[in-house]
Amino acid sequence: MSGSIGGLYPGLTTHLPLRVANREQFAIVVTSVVTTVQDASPACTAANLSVAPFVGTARVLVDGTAIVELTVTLRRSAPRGCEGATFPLQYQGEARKA
Amino acid sequence: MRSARSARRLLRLVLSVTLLSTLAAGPAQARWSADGAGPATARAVTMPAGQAPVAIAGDSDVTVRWPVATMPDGAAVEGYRIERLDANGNIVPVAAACAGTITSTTCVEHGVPAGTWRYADTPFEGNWAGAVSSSSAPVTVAAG
Repeated sequence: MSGSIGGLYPGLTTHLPLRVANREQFAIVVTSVVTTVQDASPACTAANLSVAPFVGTARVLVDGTAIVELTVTLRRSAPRGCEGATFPLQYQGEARKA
Repeated sequence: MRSARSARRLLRLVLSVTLLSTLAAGPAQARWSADGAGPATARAVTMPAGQAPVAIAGDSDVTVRWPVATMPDGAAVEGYRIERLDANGNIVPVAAACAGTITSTTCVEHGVPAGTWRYADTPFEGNWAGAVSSSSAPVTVAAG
């Protein structure tokens, strides 16, 4: 899974396109993705960014890829320390055999 | 049976990413602990700088107008703060109509004392502030 987003500013909600690749020998259906946000810096903690979990279904063929969209919001109260900051993200997902 | 259980088994996809870079100043470095490629980050913008306003003096009033400041997605910033500078470049408190955060791109300052003044604007978005603009051309308010 890989995906990044830019252009965030206080109060903005936008969509992060997450690319899911299937390296199994059978098709899969992604059923959930949870994102863990890490601190961008001591002055800009992870609490300032929310990434809603993906819950649904996204079919991915053998050796194929699919895009699932995650809703991302930078809190309106984000401090000035978040200006220009980059939050590392960690994705964890679940899928079942199609 | 085993195959059926296997078919029902949830496949867990785990990708752990540790990115060493935390600020936008440099490119992120990544260590991947599972198969995968590409970055995994959410990056915030930097605020746009203010642009020099235009000031027009009347009878103890000064009308100040400035260009809109926009975010990279084209959205206008939520507001601006205006400052007035005296001939020595010192910031002087502005009157109520131009004080605080202004959500439009113009204001009229009433009761401006006689003298020569310049104005500047600073864009704001939430707690964030852009760089202050360069100052306007000087305007002179005549003694009443």
